[in-house]
Amino acid sequence: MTGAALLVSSDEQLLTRAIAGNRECMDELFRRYRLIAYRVAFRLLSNEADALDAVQEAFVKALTHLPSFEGRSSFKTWLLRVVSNASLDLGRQRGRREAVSMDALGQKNREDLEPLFIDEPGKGLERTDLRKVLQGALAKLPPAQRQTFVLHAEAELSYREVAEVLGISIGTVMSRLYYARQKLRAHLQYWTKPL
Amino acid sequence: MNSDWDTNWNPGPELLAAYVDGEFEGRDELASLRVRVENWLTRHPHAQEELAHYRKLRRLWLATTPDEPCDRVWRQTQENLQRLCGQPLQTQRQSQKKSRGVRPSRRWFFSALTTLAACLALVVAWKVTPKAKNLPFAEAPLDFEMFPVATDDEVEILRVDGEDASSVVRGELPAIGPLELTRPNDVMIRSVQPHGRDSALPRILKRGPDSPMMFWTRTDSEK
Repeated sequence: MTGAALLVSSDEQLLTRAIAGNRECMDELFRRYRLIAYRVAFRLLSNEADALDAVQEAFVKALTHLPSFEGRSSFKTWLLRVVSNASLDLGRQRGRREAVSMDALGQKNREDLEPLFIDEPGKGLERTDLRKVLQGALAKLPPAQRQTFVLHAEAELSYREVAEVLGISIGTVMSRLYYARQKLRAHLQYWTKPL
Repeated sequence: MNSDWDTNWNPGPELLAAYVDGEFEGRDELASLRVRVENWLTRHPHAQEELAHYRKLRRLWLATTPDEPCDRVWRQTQENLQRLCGQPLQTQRQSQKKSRGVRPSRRWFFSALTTLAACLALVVAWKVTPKAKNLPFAEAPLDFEMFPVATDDEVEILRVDGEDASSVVRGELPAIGPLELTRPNDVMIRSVQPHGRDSALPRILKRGPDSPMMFWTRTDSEK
């Protein structure tokens, strides 16, 4: 299969060939979804090395269990389920390696900082610091809320897709998102208050 | 839409969030609900502040999108993947086990125990079932421990999924009383659902020695 043919192949076509053992198709599936998988894992683990471990573990699991994939959902949602579960498992096993929290920035520094003007890059916090603040707030959410929020906000899955991935009702998705937002808002009120 | 009932209607924060999240977009069946929310918003301008919070959080989220790892890291990950996926599954599990090192695994112990119990049950069922028709259940030669049951101090709960689980019941048998094996024709599998976590389906062999086993509790009236 040529490189161009791989690029224009649908996921279903790639999956069919990958199940038959075609290595190139497996590689293409990895290339297509590695970034979204990594971002979801990073949001859940707050750590690049751990996120990469989770991505690798999830892809190994997904690619070696392709025959059990029934195609009732898309490969993307199926993979994200595996990635998010692998990330939470890894997080539990290793504990939070970095104590990412707003306290890391120090209460005094936080008071001294300018509010973030997201629409005006360069003002306020550096992006890396801001990410730490957000990850710290995210890490304080219960795992189920964190997983639901990350799948919706980072993977941009619809409520229906999140419900499908997690095997819960849309009402539960809405409820978890609501509580997650409330808690994030409380933790991040300094940075999220409307201008 | 302007009835008293509608005037008193309130979308609530979850529905409002769904509106901001674009859940109503492109869905004809929700068009009227969308109009209703928008009408409500025009009548309740204070709600705009709530929406502004949602949108600000969204922008904050987008502004902190994790950076993509460099090409070298992806290459390394892909090589690892090729190596791990290239091995037969059995070898892969062995190499993963080696990399983790030898550690006591209660799961294997219980798996072995379960297999042993299943084999024992089949042997006993084969030998005992014909006689059981003529003997009262209490007199059947089953007065030895057929099915090892783990006690609560032998089980370590490593994780419980779902924050909705408010409690975990342990140490309670699902049924009280002597258990008897069902016969093959007593059981009919009507549907099999995939596992919630990874959609894996159990393999069920309907005939032969691997047929699924079930137990029931004999009530007093059945004895």
